Amino acid sequence: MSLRYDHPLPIRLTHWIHVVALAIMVFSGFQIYNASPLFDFRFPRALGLGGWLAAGMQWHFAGMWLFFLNGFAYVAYWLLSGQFRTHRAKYNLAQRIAYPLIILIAVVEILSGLAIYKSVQLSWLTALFGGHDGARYWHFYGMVALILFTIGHLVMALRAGWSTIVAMVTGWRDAPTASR
Amino acid sequence: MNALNRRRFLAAVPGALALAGCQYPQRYQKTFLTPLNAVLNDRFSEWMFSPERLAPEFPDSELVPESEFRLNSFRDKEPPVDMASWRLEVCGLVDSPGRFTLDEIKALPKRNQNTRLVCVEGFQLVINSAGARLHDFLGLVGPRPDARWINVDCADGYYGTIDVRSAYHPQSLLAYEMYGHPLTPPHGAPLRFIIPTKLGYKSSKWIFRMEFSSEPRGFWEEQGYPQFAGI
Repeated sequence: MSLRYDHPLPIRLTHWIHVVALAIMVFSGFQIYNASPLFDFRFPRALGLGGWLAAGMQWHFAGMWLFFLNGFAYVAYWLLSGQFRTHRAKYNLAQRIAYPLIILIAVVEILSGLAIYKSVQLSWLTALFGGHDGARYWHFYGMVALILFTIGHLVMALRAGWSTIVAMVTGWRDAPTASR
Repeated sequence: MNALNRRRFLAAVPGALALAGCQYPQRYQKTFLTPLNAVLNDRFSEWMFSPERLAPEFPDSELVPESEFRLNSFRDKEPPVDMASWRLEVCGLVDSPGRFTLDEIKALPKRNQNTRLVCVEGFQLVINSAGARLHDFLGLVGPRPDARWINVDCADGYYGTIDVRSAYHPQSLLAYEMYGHPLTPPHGAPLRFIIPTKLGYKSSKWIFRMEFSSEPRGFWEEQGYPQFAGI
């Protein structure tokens, strides 16, 4: 066994801020969805962040800046620091596909959100998503994708062992010298 | 303020507040995020707003049928309005305050438009409306430079507010018609705002009073909904 430095501080920091930001966006999103459901169901009241629509919107509109700025910082660091070059060595094929894909989905989520939020000032973007209602569906399915990713990511991390999660907190991983 | 409107105003507002108090319990309150969103959300929306950029307009074929023009009212579905004595009262920070008849408003150039009405709840409707441009009406009353907000009072006790800058937008209407006929009582007869650049709660119905002010005063805004509410 040896210690391997897997995740530099900016990656770990943005990762955990993202957990908070995503939780704010998803649960306040449930609150907003419930005011005018797209489908034949509502989310359980207890899962709605804010307790009513105006407060849910406030969480969503505050959270979106955290989500966007943190995500931007993550991607910028990942690209500028050369972290992406270690990707191939560090991750398996599924991860090498899933991680860029989820960033793409996050971008779609931000854009479809803007299309709903600014359907007049950014009406070209709203039209790109098939109108105001179309953008709502994109925004909803994007959220579903983010939730499914999070569940899969959590399950995989736990299956890979506790050291994987420790590594995302401390940066260091207990790993067999000949790792993967 | 004429006597009838004053009575109605004085009667309606405390009633609305009392009703609001019992209908909307504790949770209908501002949160600690309200001041943060005043900066993040309202400033951003103001910055995004362009006085010239038009909201999309749609062909008649894309209108929602009038029977499906969903109502979202604050209290009464059809508050009593005495059409014979009705006047639009204009007061506050304007050069020419006064009381305007519907005919005086109808004498201004009429704009007919099919625009999207977006409710804060998330649904949207493409609806038809026609009326005078607020831009032209403001030309009659002359808002002073320190008038930043138009606070309106409505016959159902609702009170709303829009910023003067958005009122000058070419699609901001003092609407008196919909779908080719006068406004129906549930849709705000005789006069309502149609503000396509803003969320639906800015398109106040049954307007009888416009006060120009340096401070906003809107019912939903006081509960924590966006003050600017530009879309």
